[in-house]
Amino acid sequence: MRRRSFALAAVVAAGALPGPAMSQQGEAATEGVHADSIVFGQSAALEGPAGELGRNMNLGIRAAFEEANREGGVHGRALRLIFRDDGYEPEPAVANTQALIEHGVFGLIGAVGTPTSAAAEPGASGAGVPYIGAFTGAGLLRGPDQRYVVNLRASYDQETQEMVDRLVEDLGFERIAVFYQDDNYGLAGLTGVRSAMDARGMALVSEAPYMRNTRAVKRGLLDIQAGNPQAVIIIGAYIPVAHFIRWARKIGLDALFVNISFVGSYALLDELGRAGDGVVVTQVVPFPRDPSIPVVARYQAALRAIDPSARPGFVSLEGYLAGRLVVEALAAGDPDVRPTRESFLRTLTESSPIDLGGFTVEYGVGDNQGSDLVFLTVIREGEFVPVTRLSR
Amino acid sequence: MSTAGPPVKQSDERIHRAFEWALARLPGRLGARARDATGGRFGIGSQIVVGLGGGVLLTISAILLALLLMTIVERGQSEVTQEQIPSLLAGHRVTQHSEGLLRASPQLLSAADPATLADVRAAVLLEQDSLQYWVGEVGGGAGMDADVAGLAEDLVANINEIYESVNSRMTYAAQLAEMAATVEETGLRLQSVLEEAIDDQYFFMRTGLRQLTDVPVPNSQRQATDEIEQLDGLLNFKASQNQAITLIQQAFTETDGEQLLANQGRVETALRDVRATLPKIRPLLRETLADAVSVPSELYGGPGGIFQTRRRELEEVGLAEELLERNRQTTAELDTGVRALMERVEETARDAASRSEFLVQLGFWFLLAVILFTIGAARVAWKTFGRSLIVRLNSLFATTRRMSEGDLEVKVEVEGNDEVTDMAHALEVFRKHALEVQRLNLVEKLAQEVQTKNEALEQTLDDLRRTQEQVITQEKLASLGALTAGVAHEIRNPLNFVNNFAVLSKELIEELQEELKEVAEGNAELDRDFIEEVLGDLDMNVTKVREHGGRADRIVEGMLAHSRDEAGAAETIDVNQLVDEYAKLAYHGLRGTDSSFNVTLDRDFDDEAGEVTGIARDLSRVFLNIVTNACHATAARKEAEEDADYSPTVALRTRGYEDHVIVSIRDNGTGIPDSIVRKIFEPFFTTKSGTQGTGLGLSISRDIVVGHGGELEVESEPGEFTEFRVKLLRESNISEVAAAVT
Repeated sequence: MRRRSFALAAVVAAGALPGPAMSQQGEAATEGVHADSIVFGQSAALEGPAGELGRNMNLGIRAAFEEANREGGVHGRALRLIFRDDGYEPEPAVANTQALIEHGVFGLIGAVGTPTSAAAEPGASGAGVPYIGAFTGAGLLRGPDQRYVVNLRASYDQETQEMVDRLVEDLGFERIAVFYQDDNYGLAGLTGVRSAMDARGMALVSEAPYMRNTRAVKRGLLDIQAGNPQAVIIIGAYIPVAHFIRWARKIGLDALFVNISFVGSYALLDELGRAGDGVVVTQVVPFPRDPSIPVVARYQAALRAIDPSARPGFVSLEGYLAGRLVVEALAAGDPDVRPTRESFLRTLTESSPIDLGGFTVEYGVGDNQGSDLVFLTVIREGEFVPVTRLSR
Repeated sequence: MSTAGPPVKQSDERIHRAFEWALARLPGRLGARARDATGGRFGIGSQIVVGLGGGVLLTISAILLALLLMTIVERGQSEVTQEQIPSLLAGHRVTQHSEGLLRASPQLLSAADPATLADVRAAVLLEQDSLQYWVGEVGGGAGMDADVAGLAEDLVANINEIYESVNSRMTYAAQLAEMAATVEETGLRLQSVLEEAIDDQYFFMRTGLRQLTDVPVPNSQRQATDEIEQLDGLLNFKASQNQAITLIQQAFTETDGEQLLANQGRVETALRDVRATLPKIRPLLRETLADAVSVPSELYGGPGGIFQTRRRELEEVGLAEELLERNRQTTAELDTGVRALMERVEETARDAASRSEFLVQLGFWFLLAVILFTIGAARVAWKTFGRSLIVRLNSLFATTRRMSEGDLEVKVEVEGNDEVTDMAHALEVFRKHALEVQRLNLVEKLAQEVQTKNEALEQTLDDLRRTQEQVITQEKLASLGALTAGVAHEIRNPLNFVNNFAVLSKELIEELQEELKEVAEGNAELDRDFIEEVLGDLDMNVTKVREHGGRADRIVEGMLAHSRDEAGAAETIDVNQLVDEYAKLAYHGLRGTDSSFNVTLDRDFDDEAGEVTGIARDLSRVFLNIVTNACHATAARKEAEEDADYSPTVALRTRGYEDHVIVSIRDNGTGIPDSIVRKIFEPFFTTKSGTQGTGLGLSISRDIVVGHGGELEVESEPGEFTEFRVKLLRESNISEVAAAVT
């Protein structure tokens, strides 16, 4: 026997201690695409002052998905929607979005609100997950390099522009005030109005904020009243807004109240009742109770199919349109090729314009907003009616 | 061939004597029995017993020695394999597991959640168990392993402390996170309530309205002191509350313990301020706000409050750093200890290995020595006993074998004083007897052999004679056959003459009769001259007829003579006539069998050739034979050559001398190759195929010529000519000739 046999063959054993747990979700790798289904995630408010918005967006998306699933899904794959409540607060929205991405979703759809979506979107884009049809018109989601964001609706700027245009052109108003929520939603609207006014060489007579998720609107009301406005453009949520309008009427502020689409039109109507008459709301989707528009008729049928008691509304129509957009874009892909997020996004830009049935969206490189349309509605005798111009 | 047996050397002699000397002196019954068994001498039995016994003893000794060596080597090896190798392996394990322990502390500290922490700790305990076990396995004492084990225990204790600390920290962190959420939630709720309360109060003080259905109250009421106090209280409450919340929230991120204490004091102050404002607030709202305020005051103060928990958390962080530092020290010590342990183990292992190697080599040389010693011993034993015994036995055996093969002349000589010697003596006696018997047998056998051989020789002689007679008869028949055609031709010639002369004679007679009739009738006078002339012609004709008839007679006589067996009688022979006659016979014989055959017979006869004495029948055979051969040779060349100018010629020449005559027969045929020219006179040699020749012609011819005291020579150039020369004496001894031919 030779001494060499004892040469110390260093047997370096693999580390006996476990490394950091790598519990990668198996589904994450599949991008939410399974053999028989494609999974989408939604984080939105379910409860609270914005709860009605989240619930209706969810209803509309599901109506579109269920409609497609009844016809066999998209290329044999059913569309599924996972929902998480964020209470219209940014932190939960971020956490929800992260959880949904980790769970494995193809895309995020139907987020509600500017502060929430502005907080959650970077996480989604960072993971390469499409961020589709957020219920917000804020410019924060409309940057030319935000290629993972797929906006459906016109921007707040376009809505406020339309408001100012109509108030000035149709009614000849000169005294306009802005009441807004003191967060980036409200500021977005305020900025939009100011730009439109600046363009006309006009200035706001008064402006006031209110704290989000409170009814503390009355001090703001007094500030607004101080400007003696002919019209108050309100950038807020339906409960405080309803509170504001009621108190405004109580203290005798005789102005035209013009709301932005995000307010939640029917929720506002429910809150106001007859006190709502004359209140104007700009919309970014067609009138949901006008079945002469093909996509609205289809929407109404789809809505009845999943909830016979549900009333057609602007928010659920917007949700439905977002759902339809997803269905159309996926259906335009190669049936034999497993869809990927990138192929989905490519289809959107390459297939544009996409006619969803009387509502056409168009995307391009650096343009992630599908529609530029702004519609006008007025509450008359407790009901919304579409109008093309304002009158007193 | 050696006639002596192998020498029994002096040394062998000495061995034998020494054995016998020792045997004679063996004491007691054993000695008596040994002497009895061996007969008192160093016999084969004793030699074998001594040789084999010695060999067995040597082998057993060698095996015992080898076993002893193997045991020693095995001990050395087993020290290596059973102590050093496991020890070395254990050392490696110790290194491995100590490294595992070294890695553990940072992992503990970096653990993200309690579950991971628990996993890491479980792994640490496992590592420690393994380490303790392997430290025990390293063995060998010297206290070093105890040091390592102690250090490992210290390290584990330290790791346990780190674990506890980290675990506590995590618990605190979790509690804090929960409290932070509560604070956040409470803050938001409180803020919402406060905001709305302030909004309501402010609006009331401006408008005098609290509810939508209210009617505005007068200004005095709106600006009443209590209303102002209410707003003031709310605003103060909000400010203090905000400050308290901010300070509390700062606590979650504050890392300085002193600052934390200071902040706690400030929070207490803020909360006192908050509480101080409460009385100014209307009862209904006050209760709501008090509830809301009680939540953070519970959270921040007390043993399980935010500040204390945060402080504990910070303490744990400090402790963990302390522990980690200690961990680093212990780790370094353990590392050093393990390295030292490993070095010692390796050193011991190396020593053991080289010892083992040395033993193996020692064993190898020892075994080699044993083998060489055994070989040497075997060689000595062989020289001493085996060789003398086997060599002598071999010698005895060789002698026995030679004797069995009939060689009884060698004397059996083996020296010594044992059974081999006895056998040698016995064999010598036997050999002498056998030699006597053999000599007697030999005489008788020789006589018998001579008789048998004589009989065989006589038999052979008889056979030879019979064969010779058959052969000669055959040859005679052969030459007769060749003669027949020639004879027929030769006879026809004289017969033609006879016939022609007979016809001519008849005409002469008729002429004569006509003349006589004319005379008788008187037509003419008797012409005497004419008659005599005719008679003369007739006489000449008759003479010619007689001559040619004689010739035919001679020919027939000759042919008959050929066919007769009895010896011919000696007579005088005209050589030219004999040669000419038998050359013609040969020629015509060949023409008779083949009409296309042709040859020019060129005669050059010497008139002085004259006569010789001989047996005409035999000599005629000689010439017939030679001329026939010559004709065959020309025919063969003609056939082979196809030269139109070739003229087959057989030249016959006779030359007479005083006492002899030379007859040469030369043909321009194929000639005889040198290789066979010497063989042509041998009996049965023939170049002719099948039945054409007997192969005896020239042999007999030569015998005949020699029998006549003459000579027969041949000269030939292949492709040119062949010439036979026959020398015949004028006078010869015929008796020998007869003997040669019959």
